[in-house]
Amino acid sequence: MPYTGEAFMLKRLSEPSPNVHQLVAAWDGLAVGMGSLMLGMGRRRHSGDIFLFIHDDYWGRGIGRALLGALLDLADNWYGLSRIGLEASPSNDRAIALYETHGFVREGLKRADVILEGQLEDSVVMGRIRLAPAPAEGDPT
Amino acid sequence: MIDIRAPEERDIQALTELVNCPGVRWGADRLPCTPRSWVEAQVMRQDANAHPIVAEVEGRAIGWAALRQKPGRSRHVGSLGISVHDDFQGRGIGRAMTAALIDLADNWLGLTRLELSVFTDNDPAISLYRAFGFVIEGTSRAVFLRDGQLIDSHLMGRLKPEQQQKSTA
Repeated sequence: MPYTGEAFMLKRLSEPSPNVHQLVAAWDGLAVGMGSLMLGMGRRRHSGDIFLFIHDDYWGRGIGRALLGALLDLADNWYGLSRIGLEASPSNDRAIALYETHGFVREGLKRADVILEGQLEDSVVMGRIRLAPAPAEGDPT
Repeated sequence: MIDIRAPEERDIQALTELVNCPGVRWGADRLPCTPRSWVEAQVMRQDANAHPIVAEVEGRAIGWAALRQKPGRSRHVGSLGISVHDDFQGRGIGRAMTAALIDLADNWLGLTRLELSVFTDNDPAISLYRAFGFVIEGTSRAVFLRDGQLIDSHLMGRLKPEQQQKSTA
């Protein structure tokens, strides 16, 4: 939304939910990208939803790729999630292509889901499935 | 005779029984052993963006449903959740609650889009939603655990009738 004040971000950063893992991408010490992994609850404990955004002036420098890589590392190697979901704007071809190269598949299209520049725009729903971690190799005895 | 009305404090016991029904758990995102305190918190919570209803038959709340309006740039979107007690399936109670929530969305709140998710093998529910104009917009794979297995869920959406021709899909 327009007119987002500092208080919004202060609350978000200072009162993190235990089920949301947040990280930023810094360029020369300046935070120019933000990513979140929201862990599923209850019967969705095996899953998470991710979200990322990058400052307009820093697009095209691989920041999205780096953030996405870090979020997927968290999901795969630290939380051991089986499913990651996300939503993207259908007009954001570069983001969708990035997600596809990281194993996300289009699962659906939510019609008239969000207002963009005064028009109702659809949202692309994407998912990435991965086997849950197996026991490490070695003799259990 | 089905009566659709707001949930009240006196419904907490009946609704606790409802959410713990095996069939309700099968079809919804519920865990076993949901305590009365959870139901009480839901019933007593005042949230301007949530519009819960119950269906009452013979003085007992045997259906529970809600329309939740989304925030920000999706204020025009509502999501639906509907549960009916196992012993009252097949009596038109889900239909009556769905109709009430769609009336709320179309004629009182003026929402443009309604959405819900339903497990892909819940045929009676899918047929009901189709009858009200919902279409399957996608299928999220492995999104819920049920009986020890990861199962898929359809995303269904319905645009307010006059919006239909403006849709891209």
